[in-house]
Amino acid sequence: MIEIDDLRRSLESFADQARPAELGPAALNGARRRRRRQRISVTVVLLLLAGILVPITVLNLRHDAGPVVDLPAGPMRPHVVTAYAAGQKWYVIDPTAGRYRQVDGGSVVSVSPNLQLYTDLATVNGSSSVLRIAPTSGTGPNTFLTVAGWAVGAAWSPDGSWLVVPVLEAPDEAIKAEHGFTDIVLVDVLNGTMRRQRVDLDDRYGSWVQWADNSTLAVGTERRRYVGDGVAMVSRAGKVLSWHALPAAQSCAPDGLPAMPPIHDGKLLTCTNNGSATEYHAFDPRRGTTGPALGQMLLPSNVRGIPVLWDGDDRPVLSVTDLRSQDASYTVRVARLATGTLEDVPKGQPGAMIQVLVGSSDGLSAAGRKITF
Amino acid sequence: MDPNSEAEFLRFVANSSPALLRAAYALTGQQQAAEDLVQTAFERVALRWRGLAEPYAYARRIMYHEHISWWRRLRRREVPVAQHDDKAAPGDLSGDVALRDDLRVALDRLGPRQRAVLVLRYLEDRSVGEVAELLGCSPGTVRSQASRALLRLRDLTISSDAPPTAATRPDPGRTDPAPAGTAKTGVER
Repeated sequence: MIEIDDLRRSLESFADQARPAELGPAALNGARRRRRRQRISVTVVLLLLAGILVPITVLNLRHDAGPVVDLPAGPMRPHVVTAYAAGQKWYVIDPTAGRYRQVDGGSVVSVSPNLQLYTDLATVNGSSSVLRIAPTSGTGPNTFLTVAGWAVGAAWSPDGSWLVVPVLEAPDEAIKAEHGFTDIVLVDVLNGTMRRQRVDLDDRYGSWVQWADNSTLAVGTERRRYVGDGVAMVSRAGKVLSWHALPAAQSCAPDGLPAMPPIHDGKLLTCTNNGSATEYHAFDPRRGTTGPALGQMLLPSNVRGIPVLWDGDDRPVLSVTDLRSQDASYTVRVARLATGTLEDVPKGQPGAMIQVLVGSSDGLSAAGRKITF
Repeated sequence: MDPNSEAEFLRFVANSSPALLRAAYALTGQQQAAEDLVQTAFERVALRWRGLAEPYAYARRIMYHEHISWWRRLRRREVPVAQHDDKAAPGDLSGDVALRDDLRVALDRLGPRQRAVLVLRYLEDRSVGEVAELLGCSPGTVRSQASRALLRLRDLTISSDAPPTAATRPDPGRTDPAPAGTAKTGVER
């Protein structure tokens, strides 16, 4: 038998689980879309009333308004190296101090969008993985999550409230070499809980996973190890919403290397080689369409540049390495695709980086602004 | 919208979204659906921003009406049921929490208007007259909807008092909300 007070308490505890969300900009964009659709609808009706046969392509505008690529207007967001490895040590940015701090533990795999937390991964007894969520400042509690199998990364949702961790079926080198993952673990960071889910990709495996938005994942798929063949859109519940083939030869990574393209607003940055220079495009995995070229870069033959971050504009951040160099270390450079040049980066960047993570500098204090680019 | 209006609108969204999201979550039971619902309401507010005297009241009205018209669509869409299960708090074996779980399941089985009436009456503490005005129906309809909803909740929770099944009740011996094959250690150092 229920009492009204029970119901009241239940509804309140239920409502308390709602998490804050920044809806203002999305609502403004939505309102603009609605206004555009209304205008198009009115136009169509007027044309019909005037007895003009409306071509079907005009009707299609209701669904396909706007180009595939919407380059953002306004000032570019500055970026910062959020974590890097050098000399077998990992360093993460302390956003308040604006300096890098050496951290112990496993390999750092991601830093939260607001730079407050980072994750590292370690394998335990070859059969399970421990994901640690720790404050970048070094002060505050760490959270440890044990995952059966071999966790191979962790990506933060844009709002920083979820982590997705791809997990290989078995922690076995042969399996790892043979194919990618079929399982993901979703971590609700705010509540410290997680759940494991199988992603049903039929006869394919996942090669990488990123957040298309706060509720949808983009999963790179492959049939042969390291040969990506498409991108699946997957809900947080693990349901495959769509799959589209990635056009051949659109990977930004050299052959034989796993390629996780940078993602912005649900679109992936892809590359094609036009003979000498590399052309960059935006691939929309929801529709399976590739937009027009954003621009191109021509690097010397001994220099390799792989995009590691993209804000939807024509200035992707590349990790650049000189193949002739003995230490094979990386630097980060901003590519200006409109002019085909690499920007200079400010002084004070970490040196001898053998792995590097780059993110937005939104959560960085004024003290750290000098190292942004 | 000019830049000043836009800034004003964004301030309004920041101030009003927590309360609307709470109500929307109680209506839908899902974070994503709640965000979609509130965002839709805000989009409609943005379209009429200049002419609105009480944007918050308008947003609430839109939200409840949208919820009712969305209901069938939301039912057809993915329902991440597992999201409910991983929210269990430490020590959730008490009778209160078990009852809340039962009520939550039962709420999910109510129709959209009945659920809206309960949220407005017992979460937002609105009077029958206010609920009627907001939902665009008579006070008598609100009373009858509320009464039917409470009876239905009682039936549903009584039936769930029957011997539990795997689908309706958690294993009382299980404290770890993580699915099989995973474990949350929660160690701090």
